[in-house]
Amino acid sequence: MQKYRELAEKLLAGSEADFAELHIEQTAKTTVAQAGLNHTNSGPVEQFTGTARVLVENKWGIHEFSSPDQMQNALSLASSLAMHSRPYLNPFPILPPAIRDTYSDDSNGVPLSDVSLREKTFLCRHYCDLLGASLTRGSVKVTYDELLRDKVIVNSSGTSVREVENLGSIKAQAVLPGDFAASEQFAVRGSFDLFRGREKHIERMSRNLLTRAKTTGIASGTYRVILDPELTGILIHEAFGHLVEADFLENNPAVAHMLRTGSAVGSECVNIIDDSLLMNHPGSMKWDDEGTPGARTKLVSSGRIVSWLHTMETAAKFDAVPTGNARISEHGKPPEARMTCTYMEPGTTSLEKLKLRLNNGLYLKGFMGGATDMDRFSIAVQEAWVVRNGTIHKPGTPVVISGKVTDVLGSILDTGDDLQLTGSLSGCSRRGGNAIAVTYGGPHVLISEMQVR
Amino acid sequence: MTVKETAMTGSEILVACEKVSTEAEVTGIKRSYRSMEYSPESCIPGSGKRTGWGLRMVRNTKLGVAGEWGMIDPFRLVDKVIGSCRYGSEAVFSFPENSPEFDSPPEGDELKQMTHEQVRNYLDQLQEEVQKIHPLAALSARIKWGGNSIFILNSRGLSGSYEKTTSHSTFSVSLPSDNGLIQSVYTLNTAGSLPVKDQVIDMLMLPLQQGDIKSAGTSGKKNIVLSPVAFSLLLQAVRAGVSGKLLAEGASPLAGMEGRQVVGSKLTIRDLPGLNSGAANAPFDSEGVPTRDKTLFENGIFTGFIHDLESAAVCRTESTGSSGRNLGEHSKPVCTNLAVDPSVSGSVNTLDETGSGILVTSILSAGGSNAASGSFVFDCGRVFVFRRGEIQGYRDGCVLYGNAYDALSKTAAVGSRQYRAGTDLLPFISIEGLSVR
Repeated sequence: MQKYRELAEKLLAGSEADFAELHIEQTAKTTVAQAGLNHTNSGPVEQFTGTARVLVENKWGIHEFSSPDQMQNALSLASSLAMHSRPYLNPFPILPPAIRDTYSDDSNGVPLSDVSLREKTFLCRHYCDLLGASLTRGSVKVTYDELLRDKVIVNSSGTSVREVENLGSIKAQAVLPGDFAASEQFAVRGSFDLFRGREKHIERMSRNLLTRAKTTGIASGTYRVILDPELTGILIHEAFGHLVEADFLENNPAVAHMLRTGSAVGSECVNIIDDSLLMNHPGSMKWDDEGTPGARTKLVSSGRIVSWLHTMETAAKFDAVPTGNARISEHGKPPEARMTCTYMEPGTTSLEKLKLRLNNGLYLKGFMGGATDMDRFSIAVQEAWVVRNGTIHKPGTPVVISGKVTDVLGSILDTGDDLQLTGSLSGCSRRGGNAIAVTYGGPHVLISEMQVR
Repeated sequence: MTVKETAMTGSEILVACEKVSTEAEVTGIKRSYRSMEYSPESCIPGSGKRTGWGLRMVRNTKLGVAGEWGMIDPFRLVDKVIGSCRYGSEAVFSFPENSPEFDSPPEGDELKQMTHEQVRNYLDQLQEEVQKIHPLAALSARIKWGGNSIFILNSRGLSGSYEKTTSHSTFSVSLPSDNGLIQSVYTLNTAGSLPVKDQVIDMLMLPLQQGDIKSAGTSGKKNIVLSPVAFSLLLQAVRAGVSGKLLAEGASPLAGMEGRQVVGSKLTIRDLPGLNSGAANAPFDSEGVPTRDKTLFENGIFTGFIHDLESAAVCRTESTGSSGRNLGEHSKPVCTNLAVDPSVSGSVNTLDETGSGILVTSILSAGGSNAASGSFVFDCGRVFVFRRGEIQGYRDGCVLYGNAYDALSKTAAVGSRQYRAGTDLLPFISIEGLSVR
């Protein structure tokens, strides 16, 4: 990639456009899956892709290409496409700093790419056997996904950054007759070590599933609940994070006004961060997809809005500091303001004390799927445990929690003293676009009212 | 790259495989597209080209697969597949031999020639229509349209290629209301032309209807009308269930049900790879087996599974030309343009026939559903309460749950017009007594 980067630098040094940018990437994707006794592996599927983006006389044009020798032509095509564009009425984007730098995950433990396909295959079989041994009925599956990415962003204002990423995840899934399902996922950036020695997690997952198969139904209604760190993270991501992506707010002035800086969106104990520099997590980025350095951005402080998530365009429009959240979900598409590693900050209360404060209610754990339509959120919960007098009483059937985005953060009564982050390589898709890697998390939280079905 | 040039590169890859494999198969894709990002704030034209190759090989009786997009190195690709074969599954089938001439789908000239200017005008008109209905509504859209050349070659002499022009569109409208923000998203794929405007408006504006807020209501069995978009999600179970792969794994709920009434007699469900306007049309599947239109359920009676070569070999039958896969991935049997026959009489949205119930226009989340078994848990966003065929108001959310086959067996009415949802072509459907909480 180094020689392509140098070529891109040379081409852009002579650019006459108001702004021009080349984003080139080499990726390799591998999947290994073990479903019961059936094994499949796919790939690696290698890909070279690039996007040229040009701003000429306040008009954008964009062109995707698939070979380094097309870079010059791609810049010309993007320039001529800009002529068909509508004038860009916003202020000139806040460009990333003129820096030349490289970051590689290779310095961070045993890189995924150094581990043989044999070991990855073995690990999937091993965990699948382990899961299958304790769950004699139903179906089990273990999948390993890997994405190796070498990304270069060069622009006409002197930014030239290169980031080499190693992203991987292992997902174990089990379904018992009666559709009792469980899944557990570990996702990392950098080292393969996290995937080894997960036997105890797998055993705990199967034990839990067997216990939950003897559940009692939970009636629909409004409950006092504790969410585990994974659900807290998903709640923050779905119910709040998407709302402060500034390109969404740009098109929705009424919501932008509602979420203006200083407005109250949650109770006093709610503090929310988006930190793209947590470099061992899949959602992280040293630089975003426009070359703006990654950052730790406080979104909510003591329940009040502090910042939104920005691209270089939205930062200019809203007179804000760029937050390094520009991400592309596919080449040939302009970057969007998206979350990276988003979490709620922990408080000081232990889980045991949270349970005592809950007294009677539900302890909800694990995530099965979720979404938001920007007004309401919906999250399918893997485990629901009935709590009586501050102690776990019995397992309940899986439930769906939902609610109004604007209500839920205000119902948080207390935050736990733990912090756990969960990641996924394909964790977040917006408006029908491709999924991108994100990380989310938080502490256990106690919520006074949650709609449970 | 022309089809002829593509064939030469494909032949080079096959030659490189000769001494290291028993059988080999090369697939190639060339995409050339234009795109338009449209929002109230901007309108950005784009374009792009991509070329990719996939290689599948049998070596020491094991099946391996890999792929490359962009810069193709035949020897590197072969090396990767050799590595994949080492830990691959047992090959239980042979690649097909030379096939008869394939009929290429007709070229979508209208779409192929479509300029950025024309698409921008199309979107401007759509935005005008949207604002006629709701002056405060803002349309955002992404349309990607262009040509695809598909090519296949294998070591047993099969060679085939075809070209088609398709569009992929995502429209979204958001609307501030007294009770918060309402958003509607509609995604569809077409071949030959852009989406029909009045269909887009119908599907996009349906979830944005205003009215009185209704109380949450009680749990229990209710009559439910699903819009084509919501119906498409319920059909995930059917897509999974008819797959020969699930049958081969012993996990299909439709095993042993051929010739039996499985879903309501008002339902005829077809898989139509020959549908010219369907984005998933193809004269042959991703293994080079000729495709054919298939009726999966005739008046509710299940007629049979769809197979690729592997599932057909395991189930001791023939491939139905239903192989689908992404480049560099293993094949699996897939539906193409899934279509449900509309009713010949009756209303478009089946509300009149249903009388009273709940209209579901979109599904917010389907977490906890299991397409393989057919069980589903759909959290619906805003749903509409109707009585005597008239919308009375909306309520904020409800959860539908049950088993998809059981639900489809209670089909009370089918709408008289088909709409696109993704690559599906579906009418509204009315279901009696679906569990709601």
